[in-house]
Formats: sequence, C-alpha cells, structure tokens
Amino acid sequence: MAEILPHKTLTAGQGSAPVDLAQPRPLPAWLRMLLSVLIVAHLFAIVAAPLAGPPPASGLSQELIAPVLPYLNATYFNHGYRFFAPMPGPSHLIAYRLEMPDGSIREDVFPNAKTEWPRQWYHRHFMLAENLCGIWEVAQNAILERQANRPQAKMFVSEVQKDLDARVRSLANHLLKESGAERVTLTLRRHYLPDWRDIRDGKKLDDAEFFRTPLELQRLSGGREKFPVDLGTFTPADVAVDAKPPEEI
Amino acid sequence: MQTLVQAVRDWYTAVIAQWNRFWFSAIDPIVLSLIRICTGAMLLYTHLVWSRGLEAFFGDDAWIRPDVLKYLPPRPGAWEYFSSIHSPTLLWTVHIAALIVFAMLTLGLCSRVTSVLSFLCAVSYINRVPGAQFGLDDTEIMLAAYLMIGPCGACWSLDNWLKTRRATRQGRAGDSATRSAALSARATSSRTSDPGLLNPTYSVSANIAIRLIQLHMCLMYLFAGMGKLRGDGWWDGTAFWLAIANQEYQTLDLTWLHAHPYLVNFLTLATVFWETFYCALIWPRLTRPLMLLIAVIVHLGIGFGMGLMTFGLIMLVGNTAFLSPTLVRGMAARISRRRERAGQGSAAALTHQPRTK
Repeated sequence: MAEILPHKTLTAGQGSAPVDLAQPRPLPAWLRMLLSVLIVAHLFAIVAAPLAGPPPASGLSQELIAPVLPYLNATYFNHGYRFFAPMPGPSHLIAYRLEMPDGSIREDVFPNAKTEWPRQWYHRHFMLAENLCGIWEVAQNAILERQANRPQAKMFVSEVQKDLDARVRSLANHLLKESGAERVTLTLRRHYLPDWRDIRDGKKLDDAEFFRTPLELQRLSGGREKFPVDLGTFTPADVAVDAKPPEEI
Repeated sequence: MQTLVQAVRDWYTAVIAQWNRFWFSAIDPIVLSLIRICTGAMLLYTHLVWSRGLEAFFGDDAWIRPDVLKYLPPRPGAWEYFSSIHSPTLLWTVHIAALIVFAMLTLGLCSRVTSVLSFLCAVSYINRVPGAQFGLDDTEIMLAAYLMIGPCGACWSLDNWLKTRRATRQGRAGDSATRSAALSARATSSRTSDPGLLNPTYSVSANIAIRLIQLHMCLMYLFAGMGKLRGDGWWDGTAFWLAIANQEYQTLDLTWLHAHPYLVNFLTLATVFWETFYCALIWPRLTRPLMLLIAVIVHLGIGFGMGLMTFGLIMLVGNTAFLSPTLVRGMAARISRRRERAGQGSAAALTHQPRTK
C-alpha cells in the first residue's frame, strides 16, 4: 500500500490548511481494503440508480440495480436526477369544488401561491399535483399497451390504476375532512407553456387558452390528451379507508 | 513480454497509490463542519415548514394517507415511522423532537449522534410523503448521509467549545502536563483564529465524507445534463424559455427575454454544457473556480427566478465540498479578525464617549 501522502500534495480542493493540526496515524492496510470494498459497493449502487430510472432504462441497468435496491431505498439514494429533463414541461394543478352542508359551493385549486406559504409549502402541494398527473399519464399509456395486447400489460394497468385511484380518493378524503364538505369534485388541469411568440403578441401566461388542450394536440394524441380531466366526485362514504377497494378510473 | 508485465505492474501500483491518496489522506475537517452547519440549518428550516400543517401531510387524513402507501409500486427497503403514528399529540412530539435534533446538528451538539439521528429522521419524513418530494430532498438527505461518516462537529461546534472549556478548566486545576496540553490547545486555537474552539485533528473520515459528497455532486449534474440531451429544446435552445414561461414556478418575471431569443439560446446551451461537463471540469484547479461561479449563478437564478430557493441553496451547500480547507479557514480567520477589531473599536468608542451631562 502506498504511504499516506502529506496533505499538501493532494489534488485541488483538498489543500492543506496553514495550521499545524494533529496528524492521525495512517490507516492499517486491512482497514483501507475493507473501506475500499464498501466505497466501491456504494459507488456502484449510486451509479446504478440513475442508470435504471426513470424510463427509458436498459435491461442491464434493471438487472444491476436489483441487488442494491433495498440499500438505495433504505438510504433514499434511489434517484434519477433528471432535473427539468428531457424538457421543462407544462405544470399541473388540481381544481376542486366543495359542496358544503349549507348548500354553498367553494372552489379552489392547489397549488395556490396566494394561500400556500412559505414557498416550500406551496412547492409540496405543487409536487402532489405534478405527481398525480405523472401517474395519470402512466395509466393512460398502460391502457394503450393493454389495447395493443402487450404481455403483462393487463396486470400493470390494474396496479397503476389502483395506485391512481387510491391517491385520488386520498386527496378527496383530505379535502372533505378539512372542509367538512358533503361532496367534492376533482379536476386535473394542465397549464400549457406559451411559445415566446405568444408573449410577444401580448398574451399572458395565465390566459384561459393555456389551460385547455389545443385541438391539434388532441388529434395528434388520438384524444388521449384532453385537459382538463375529470377525476370524479366523492362523498365521505366513497373515500373512507378501505370502504371500497380501489378500481380503475 | 517482461517490459509489458512491468508496465502493467507499474500502472497497478500507481492506481493503488492514487486510490489511497484520494480516499485515505487525512484532511482538515473544517469544510465538513461548514457543510454540517449549512445542512443542519437547511434540515431545520425545511422540516420546520412541515409545522405549517403537519397533519395535512403526516396525519391519518393526510393528502396521501397511510393506507395509500400499500398501492404504491413496491419499494423494497424503504421505511418510515410516521404511518404507525395515529395520535396528533404523538405526531407533534415526534416532529418537535426531530426539529431539536436538526437544531443540535446545526449547533454541533453531540454531532456524532445527531448526524445519525438527523439522517434517520429526514428519511422517515420523506418516505411518508410520496408525491410531495423534489430535488431538495435528494440533495439534503445525501448530505445528511455523508455527514454521518466524518467528524462533522470537529470545528465551529458546541462539542468543540465544550471540549475546550473542559480542557481549560482541567488545565487550571490539573498538573503541569494537563496545563501544558490546555495551553497548547489554546495556542493552536488562536493560530487558527477560532477563539474558544479547540484545535481539531486531520481526519481520514472527513476526507472520505468530502470525497463522497464531491462524487455524488458530479453524478447528479452528469445525469441531469445527460437527461437534458434527450430533449429537443435543450438542443434548439428553447428549453430555458419553457422554464421561465412556467407560471407555477415563476417568482421573477423573465418573459421579457422573448425579445432576446439568442440570449435564451445561449443560456439553454450553457446550462447543458455546464451540467454535463461539471464532473470533469470541477477537478482541475484552473477550471474549478469557474465551475463554482457558474453553480452560484445557476442555483441562485433557480432560487430567485423559479421560487426554488431551498433547492438552489442545498445544491450550493453540496458545492462547498469543493472548497479548499485553506480558503475556508482563511475566510473564517479574516471574519474573526474583523470581529475582534470591531469589538476593540466599539470598546474604545465607549471609553471615549463624551459626557452629555
């Protein structure tokens, strides 16, 4: 094993401080060997995580991550780090309509920057809506796969739709409990991003047209993309824990 | 043939030597201590924000209530303790305890223990709220994990302050050997411009922790950059526009950039280049300051422009792993000297204050 070199000879960023701090004894060779094995295993795991997801990912990556998945999940290292990739997309909001016991109607949306503060609190709500839309999209794609008679698609559709249904009911339950409403209707909205020419021509980011799927896009997606999406109307009985097993929406 | 064997043997020896130097050299733990303070403060703030409506995210009737977790895609190994808490009183007790742990980590009190507890608490919070996580959590927990490895409380910590005080007291009361050790500690303390803080020792585990943070930061930027290469907008230069035209993110209106399409193109391409090549250009002394400067601009830009200040700041905390201990200690010494001068100045001003009566 190489001798532990004086600190001054290290690579950039690890330079020595001009103080005479006490130097520890060099690590014994067996300990360096053991630590090296642990470091290599850890590096393998944290590289395998972004290689294996989010999709698309190679079959090899999926195989490589399998043995280290429990470690990655336990340490919360299982991430793809695709910030704003492959493209910064439109954002999503969940609009809700509450029917109160006195017959009044309350309508709102989350995320809502006016009521949710500080910013991080707003962002947590924003992510709830984004995540729900992500699952909704996976479910839509899964249905297409099933229609194409792809193997295992049927089971996958069932799983992803149960996940989606359970989340939607959970959101509805929260809104009903928090407000004391008798009924809640949820709608998933997509806020499309305007082209720079739109803004040049005087349009605003929050113009109503940017919340509706353009007809051309509806046609291109075979009618799959058609926002806003109705997520359903729920009463407290519909959303009670295990009142009704989750099913396809 | 023998020459080839010798060449391979030399190469192997060189690789092992470099590996050992990279991972197992002892370093001044001051940078790790700085990361502890910043990460601890971020953990404290970001978890304090949950107090705004703790039960809305962690209670039985939360946005994502506990029974939903069983329908999620399987996550072997993932764990959290919030699902088994059904009493609001207990929930708040656990939450306040976690906040105390984060505060202790920031202050460097029992830092070896609180670094482990902070990591466990942070993982538990975030695994309970699937769907509400974002990049902030990835980086924050990554830093908390690596803080467990090294002596993160070696500098600028209550641990160190208490140790110094104990040593000084023992020095006063003890024999000549103890007294001389205490004096030596004080002397080093004054040389390092850490008045009242006992000298830390060089540490191999601090180096391992810093190296892991450095490599993890490289990994994050590399995959962020490579992910963008799949998107047309990052090639045709319009992706930056899409980021600033997103009203739900927007905290600073930059849509006036529609009049400067080439600037938008440049900012888009610069982002991709910087992220993709960060893992290579952050290591040479020549390019490191430039990469760090761009990191500051990008992350503060994201913070101010897109309302992601906590994410921007935690990424900058991760970048501090690339600061040299010499620089950090030098800056600390300068601040300390300035403070001392200011203290002397104000004392002098008080002494010479003219009497009004």
